[in-house]
Parts: sequence; structure tokens; C-alpha cells
Amino acid sequence: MLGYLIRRVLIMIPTLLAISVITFVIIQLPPGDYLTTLVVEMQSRGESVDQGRLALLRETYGFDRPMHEQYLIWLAGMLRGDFGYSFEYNLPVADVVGDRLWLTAVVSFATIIFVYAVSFPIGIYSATHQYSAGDYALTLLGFLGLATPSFLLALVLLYLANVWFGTSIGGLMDPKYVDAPWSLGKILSVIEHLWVPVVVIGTAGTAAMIRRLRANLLDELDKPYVVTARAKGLPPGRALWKYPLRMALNPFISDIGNLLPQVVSGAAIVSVVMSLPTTGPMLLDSLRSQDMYLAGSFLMFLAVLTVIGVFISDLALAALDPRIRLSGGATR
Amino acid sequence: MSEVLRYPRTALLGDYARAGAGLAITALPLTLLEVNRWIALPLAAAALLFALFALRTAQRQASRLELDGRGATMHGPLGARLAWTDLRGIDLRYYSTKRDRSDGWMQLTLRGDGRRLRADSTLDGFDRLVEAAAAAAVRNGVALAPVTVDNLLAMGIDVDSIAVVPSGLGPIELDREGDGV
Repeated sequence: MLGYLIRRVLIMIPTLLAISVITFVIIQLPPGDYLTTLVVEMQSRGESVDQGRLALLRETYGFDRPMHEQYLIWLAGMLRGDFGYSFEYNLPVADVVGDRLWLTAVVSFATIIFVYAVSFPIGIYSATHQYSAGDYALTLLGFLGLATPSFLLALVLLYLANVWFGTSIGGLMDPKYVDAPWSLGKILSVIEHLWVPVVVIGTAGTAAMIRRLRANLLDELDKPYVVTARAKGLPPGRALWKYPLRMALNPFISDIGNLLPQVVSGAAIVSVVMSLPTTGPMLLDSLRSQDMYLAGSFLMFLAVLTVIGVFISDLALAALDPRIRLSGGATR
Repeated sequence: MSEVLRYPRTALLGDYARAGAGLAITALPLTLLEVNRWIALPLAAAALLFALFALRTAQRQASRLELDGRGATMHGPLGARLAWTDLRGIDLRYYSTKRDRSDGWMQLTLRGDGRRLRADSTLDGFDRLVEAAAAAAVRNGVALAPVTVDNLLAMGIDVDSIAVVPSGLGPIELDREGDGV
């Protein structure tokens, strides 16, 4: 396993470097830079532009340097924890992001827990009670979850949370806590507000997970070894938990790599609708305004999440199912 | 008659190159730059891993495996001897870093009498070691995990005479009521 770990880590590092290059190039691709956008905005407002000051800013921010130099400065800065300067906010990126990164992590983690906690029992129930009334009801619920646009669900749940529980509309905490330092009251307020975005962001993923677990488990339950196990008197619970469920988990584990970035990036629209202080809306704004270091830092954050997720799922798969695949995909 | 198996130079050089490249990528920034502690932590962990891998490669370079009709003996640092009559566990795993699981390698772990002997498929004569171990496992009535059975089959070693459970999982243990498969 050490050899496998070494090879995987060796693949990870160049992958991250390649992603950083691509990210930087993509951010630089649109014509102009942040200052060009700023000038256009000022001219549209009828304000005059001081060319001397513009040249000074261009030199200060390094826009006059070749792209590869700008990239290397950015990369070395990231290793030191300096993610660059946000032109739009006139602050270092780390200060701009601030609590947003942690709040995004909290929302994402809670969403992943929600997805697994809900989809697991429902998927197992649906597979073991195929074509029962409960299976049909849960299948209908699953399809509704898949088909409902998340922003619509967000609006409905925000309204209901306000009417039933008096939760303030939008945000991840009561308005009085927004700029306040962290306290027990602020944490409780975050918890009170958290369930709405978690349900909204997690619903589609939960529905998809339920369908996948149901299909995988049904495939396994139909295999002869399960029939043999039952025929030999293995209790139904054990005949389910011991092997078929474990085999049905492979696609679940391989999904970890995609789940993390999907939850973070997929939450952007929901975050805009619900005014969540997470990274999603800020990423959209920074891409629109060509705030390159802020956008680049966010994109790198998403890339790191993806690479770490794939790494974890690969390690788990290697530990769970270290079989050679014969030609044609068959294992035996 | 005994046979001596060694890790070939090309395989060892490849592993040294991996360890060196990994150490260069992870340890150099730590020594040359003022790395942020949250970034330094995973880099240091990875550097430690690559250092361990370099040590393991050196151990392999200094080792040789002696195979005979009575058992297998690993000579060198962390050496061990395992008699075939003492063999109580055999585990053959396949690893690949590719999505289609091609171009991978196998790892054989033999257990018995409180000792463990491990070898990778890069070892010259690995197939003969696996054949001998599988035959000993059959003779000793060792229960093989289906992963091992599948991988043995891929190597052309059929152990159908050994009772196995469904693919991909370890053997079912009979409980006290004897309701296993």
C-alpha cells in the first residue's frame, strides 16, 4: 500500500500544478485586466481617468510583467499563504475571504452528512422493499428532489422557516451577528439557519444517491451468492449487511471525489438566492470583474478539494477492492 | 533445491527516482521558502512518506528471498523465514493508479507462526513464489479471500478446490450457530 500511496501522491502534485497553470491562464484569457474593467466602469459613470495613476497601479499590481512571471509570483505567494490582492475589495485575498471559507466548509460538510444520512437508509429500504408502497412513495420523493430547481426550493423553505420558526430570511445567521465576533449566540444562530441551505443544496444529491444505491443493491441482491446465503440460513439482516451492501458501496466511495467540489460550486446559485456568506457568490463576482487573484484562489480551492476527494476515494477503493480487472471489465 | 529471488535494478531505480522526485517536490519548498503552516503540514507529511519509501527501497535492495520446498526466507534487513507448513494466511492484492486499473502491480503477503513476509510483483520470480505459496495454502486448508482467489486466477492459478465466498470480500466466518455460508 505504501507504493500505491507514493505513486498517488506523486500524481497529485503535478496535477495541482497543472491545474494552477490552467486556472491562471483561463483567468488571464479575457481581453484586458481588472484595471481595464475599472476604467470602462469609470468612463461609463462619466468620471475622468488619470493615466499616470493607471500606469502606477499597473506597475504596482504587476500587470505590466509577462504572464509567466505573474504566475510564478502568484504560486510562490500561495505557498507562503499570500493568495494575492483583491482589487475590487482593496484587501488581501485572505482578509476578503475571511470567515466565508469556514462557513462554506461548514455548509458543505453538513450537506455531505445530510446526503449520506438520508440517502443510505432510504436507498436500502427501497432496494429491500422493491415495488412496495413505501418504495413507490420514496421513489416519487426522490424524483421530485431531482426535478425541483434548488433556487425554487430555497425560496419555499425560506418562507416556511420564517413563517413557522421565525427564522430571518436569507443569510447564515441573524443580521445582528453578521459583523459581531464569534459567540455562543452566533453559533446557535448559524445552526438555526443552517438546515435550510443544507436541505436545499443536498436534496438533488440525496435523490441521485438514493437511486444509485437502490440500483446497485438490487443488482447485488439478485446474485446467486445472496440466494445461497439465505438458503443456508444466514439471517436476512446479516445477508444484507455483510456482503451485498458492502459491494454496493463501491460507486458511493468513488463519488467522494466529485461530491466535495460539486457541493461547493453547485451551491453558488443557492448562495446568491439565499444571501449566504459563502464563497460561491464571491467567486461569481470575482470572475465577472476579473478580480484575478481572488477568482484564482477560489478556483484553486475547488481544484484542491477535487484532487483531495479523488485521492481519498482512490485510497478507499484500493483498500476495499484490490482486484485485478481482466479484459472486458470482468473480474472473474 | 533452493532459488534466490531479488528485486531487479530497474525496478529499484524507478522507486529511488520516485522517492527522490517526491522529496524534491515536498521537502525543497519547505527548506527554501517560508511556507504557510497549513500548507507546510501536508508537505511535511508527504516528505516523510517519501523518506520512508526511500528507506523501504534501500531495504529491498539489500534483501534477497530464498525459496525452497520447505518455505521462503527473506535475507537482509527485517528478514524473516516462513515454513510452508506454518503458512496460515495468504493475501494477494492488486494496485493500479490508472482509472482502467491497467499497468498495476501485485503485492503478496504471507502470514504464519507470528511472522509476516511481503513481496511485490516486481520481484524476479514472483510468480514462482505465488505458486508455491498458493499450493502450501491449499495443503494447509487456508481460507482464501475472494480478492486473493480472483487475483490468483488472473495469474493462471486456479484454486477452485478451496471453498470461497462471493467475489470482492473476505471469507464469511461461521458464528456459533453455524449459520455461515
